[in-house]
Amino acid sequence: MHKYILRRLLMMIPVLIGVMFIIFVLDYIRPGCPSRVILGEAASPEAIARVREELRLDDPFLIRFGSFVGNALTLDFGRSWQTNRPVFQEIFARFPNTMQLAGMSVIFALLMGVPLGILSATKQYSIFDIIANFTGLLAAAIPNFWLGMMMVILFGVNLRIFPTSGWGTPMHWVMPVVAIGASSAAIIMRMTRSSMLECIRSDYIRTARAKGQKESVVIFKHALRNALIPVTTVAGLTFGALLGGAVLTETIFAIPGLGRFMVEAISQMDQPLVQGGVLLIAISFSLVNLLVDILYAFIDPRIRSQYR
Amino acid sequence: MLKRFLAVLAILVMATFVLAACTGGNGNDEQAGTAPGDPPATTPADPPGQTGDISAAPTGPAGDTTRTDFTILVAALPVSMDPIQSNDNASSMVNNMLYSTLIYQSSVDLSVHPSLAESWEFVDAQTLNMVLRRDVVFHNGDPMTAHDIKFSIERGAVSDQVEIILGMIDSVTVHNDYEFTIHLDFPFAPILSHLAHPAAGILPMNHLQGILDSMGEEDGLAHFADNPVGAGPFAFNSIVLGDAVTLVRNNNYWGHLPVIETLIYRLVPDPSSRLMAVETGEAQFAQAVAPADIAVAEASPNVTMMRRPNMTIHYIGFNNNRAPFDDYRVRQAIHYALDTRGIVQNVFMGAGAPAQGPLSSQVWGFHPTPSFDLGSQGANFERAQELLTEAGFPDGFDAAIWWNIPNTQRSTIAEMVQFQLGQIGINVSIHSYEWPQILDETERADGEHEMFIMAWGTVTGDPDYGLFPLFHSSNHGGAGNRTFFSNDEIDRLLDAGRLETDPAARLPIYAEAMEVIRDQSPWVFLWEGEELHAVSNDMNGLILNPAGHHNFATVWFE
Repeated sequence: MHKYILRRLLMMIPVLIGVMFIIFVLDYIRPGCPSRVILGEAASPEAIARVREELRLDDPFLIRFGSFVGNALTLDFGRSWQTNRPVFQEIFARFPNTMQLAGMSVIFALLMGVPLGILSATKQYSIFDIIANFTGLLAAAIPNFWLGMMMVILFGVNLRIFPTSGWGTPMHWVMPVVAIGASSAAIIMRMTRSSMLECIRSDYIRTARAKGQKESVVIFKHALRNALIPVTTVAGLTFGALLGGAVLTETIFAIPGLGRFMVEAISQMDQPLVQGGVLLIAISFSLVNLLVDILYAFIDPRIRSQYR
Repeated sequence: MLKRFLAVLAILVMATFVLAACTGGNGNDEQAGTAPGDPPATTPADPPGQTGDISAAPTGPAGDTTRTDFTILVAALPVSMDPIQSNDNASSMVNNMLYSTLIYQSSVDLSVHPSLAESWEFVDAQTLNMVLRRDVVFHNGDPMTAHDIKFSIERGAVSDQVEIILGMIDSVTVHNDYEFTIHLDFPFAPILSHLAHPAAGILPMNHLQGILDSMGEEDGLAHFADNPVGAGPFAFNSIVLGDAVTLVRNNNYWGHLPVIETLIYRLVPDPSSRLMAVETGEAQFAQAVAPADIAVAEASPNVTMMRRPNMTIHYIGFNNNRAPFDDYRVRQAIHYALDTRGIVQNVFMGAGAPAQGPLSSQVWGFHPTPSFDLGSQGANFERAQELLTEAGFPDGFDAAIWWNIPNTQRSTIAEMVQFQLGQIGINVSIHSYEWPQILDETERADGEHEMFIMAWGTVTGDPDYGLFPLFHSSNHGGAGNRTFFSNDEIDRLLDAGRLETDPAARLPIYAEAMEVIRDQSPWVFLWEGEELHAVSNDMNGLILNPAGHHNFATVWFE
């Protein structure tokens, strides 16, 4: 197991170098001049030249890429070209908020999705199953940002239960977490349901029932454990995707997260920010994937035996 | 049975959402009658004699006010709180409260008045003598002297970021602690309005020098920008990156003390979210309401809309280097063929107004030069056709119009232009580029741009700022004149406007320049923007500044 984790961590190195190369090349070939964006529509050619010089934009490709990789190894991504703050400071002012939002949304999705999925699988074709499926389909189909908007209007403006925007207190967290978590909850619910249905019909469940196990043990110990593998995959992928930021939801609720910030940095051609931010997202995504793979081992001993 | 149940359920769910959507816009319609453009009725105009005083203000008795904290929801936070490290509107808005400037520009009519500079005198259009107030102290307690002025202004003069505002300054000579002379690189009469811009804010020399000495240049500048010290009505308190900047009242302010004690600029990027937060009382000022939300805001019982035309002009530029746009008759023909009123009405949904010339009506010395006489039709196809025939294009030609992603308003403008010019045989193709790319492409003399949609804000309020960079032939390309327009008459007039220090004598110069520009048509003038802000009903004392540099120090609540 330890060897497996170490091997996976080492495998991240070529992945990250690949990511760095791709971000860098994309930034390099992108048309437009960052010094122009910094100085605006009307700036003298001399000023543009000075800023280009300062940002070392005229250095050859390999020198620029080399210094980027070299600095990245020491976790020094330089300063934002716009604000002049260290990239590290800019990103870590926002990344915890994004982590928190993503984490809470996935937990909300699991808390809603898994029990409902189990319930609708064990009570297949009941009225509950139908309602749960229909609501699930609806929740999965509604875009996050639209649901967020509607919630702000209803619970923020009309009922005045929650603040309409901002981040900081638990009251601020409720609406964005629900808005983002709803569709994931629906997907997890449907995933749990179908995967539970498959397990419930398998031979070992029949055996468990035949030997007189209590139904709750059959469902939660025998069936659920097997059914959780695909659910874990979906939850992990959702969490990973949310680490890149839920741009529209962040915008509506004015959450100081990484997603919107990165979009702005890209449109401003703030290359140090974009490179640092994308690399951080890539690292966290890889780590989350690794974590999911490790979780499999705890859920399913058969998988554990394969991790060598 | 099941089908019916599902149908009922579906209707119920949809009804919930529809209800939620409707109740947001339903409110008290009586408020909708507030005349657009009017500040709230209780807003005092600049009191006589105080017009020029930056502190001209809280007229409300401090004892009666209930609220001393003021939350402003902004679309962007400052890029830098060092006045010379950035030249964006969000920074200017905050720096305007943190720093004092030598000159104060009245929000009412953009006339210039004494501020830190008690008095001044032009030796010639290139040399300006000034006398400093003696009672000014910075937020850190340092008294302000002419040495601070020299330090602040000279570092601004060599800053690439604010080159367009302070780059014409050569040096400052200090005569004694309170008297100094500003020397310019060339004669430049509009200098006073430039010295009133937040980029010319004065900061404490010894304080910043100490930081730079102890932390080094790079770290020191970054540190100062996040811990700014000025002499404005509010002092810096805290910043949460990506979230908010908090200022507190400067109790040692040299002018009238603001009533507001805490001023919070909070970032809420979505315009509808900003408006809703004012409706619920979470904030008192929502910057830049979306045109589509104006009716909602006017119908809300807790909210008042504050509106005023601003300094921004949207335009369609022609590349004068490229045939057939090198012929002024072709440019005029397009001017005649476009129904700009229709475009503005459709695209901006009642916000702002059709542009009346290359400058906003709010700019000092504005002289209306609307598009040619187009009658009630909004466009004059016959005249357009005549001009095209004269220019040798009776059957029209192919042309391209460029806009920048993701500005969807400009995309709609491009589509309407395509349709309207199609009527006189000009086949327009639409091209979209990212902002950095469109900047890059339009600055080359051999650039392939033909028509492009852009905007310009005359942030100093002086016609020179709105005309010289954009139309003088010395500024071809990236320096601002992206149409590569060359006209000796315009060059002569714009040069003369810089030489003439007597305001009355400058007026006819610019009026003539605007008429020549209209006749030469390097642009089609499209839209004059509007400041559209939603404020809570109990807010008083604010006069909107058309450059967006609102003076929140005068605000009080009742």
